[in-house]
Amino acid sequence: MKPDRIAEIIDGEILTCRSIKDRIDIKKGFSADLMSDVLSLLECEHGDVALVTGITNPQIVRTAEILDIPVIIVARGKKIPEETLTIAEDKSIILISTPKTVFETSGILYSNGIKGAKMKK
Amino acid sequence: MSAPIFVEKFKVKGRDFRHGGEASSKIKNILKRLGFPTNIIRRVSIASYEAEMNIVAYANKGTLTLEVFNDKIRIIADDEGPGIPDVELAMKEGYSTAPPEIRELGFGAGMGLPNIKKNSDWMNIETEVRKGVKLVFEVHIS
Repeated sequence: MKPDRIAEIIDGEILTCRSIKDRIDIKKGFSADLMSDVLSLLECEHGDVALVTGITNPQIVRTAEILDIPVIIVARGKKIPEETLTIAEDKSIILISTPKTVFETSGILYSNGIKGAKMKK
Repeated sequence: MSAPIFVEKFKVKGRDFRHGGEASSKIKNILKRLGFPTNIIRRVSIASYEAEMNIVAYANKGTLTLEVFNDKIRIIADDEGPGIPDVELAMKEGYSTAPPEIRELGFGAGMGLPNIKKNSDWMNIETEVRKGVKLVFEVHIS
């Protein structure tokens, strides 16, 4: 699913890296506020996972960069700090902001065909 | 033992959450440029980022050193800080001494050291309380 379509179905807004959005195709999702969990549990070898989170600090972008996660969806309409946006732009990571909760966002994505990302054994 | 074919050292500042992760990002880019397979790069990057965030979260300052050999990649995370009083306990998943401000960033869940072990082929910790930690890990290329 293209970032434009993701933004559309969750009433979201793409905040960074609009120029690369058509090159991204999301097939799986993972929701977490704990970056330790993302780093230790998530399999994302195909670069097609979107991370849904309720936190906004730069470490969400660092974590995404390390794991080749191309899209981060920040839920609950939280204001994303400028430094997080700057790093995301720099690291070519698409940030989408949505007013919906993590639960609602995940549910909408799932019901539109985005599967749960594989977990490491 | 053969000498490394590439070495680079990065400074890491304690409590600098703005730049925490930048050294591991650079390491990842170097390994990409050197042409390593994606799975090797990801394992080194994850372990390196966990080690870097440990320095940021707990230590006053430290360094990450990348050493590339023909058959393995080694990272040395060396810091000046409180050290680890009980390494065995720190290696247990879920054990953490992280303060609330670290947890608010999504870290400090007691997964860091176990995750470094999980992503590496060899790991060693030397530590002295009130001096610091020297953590070394290797990912082997086979």
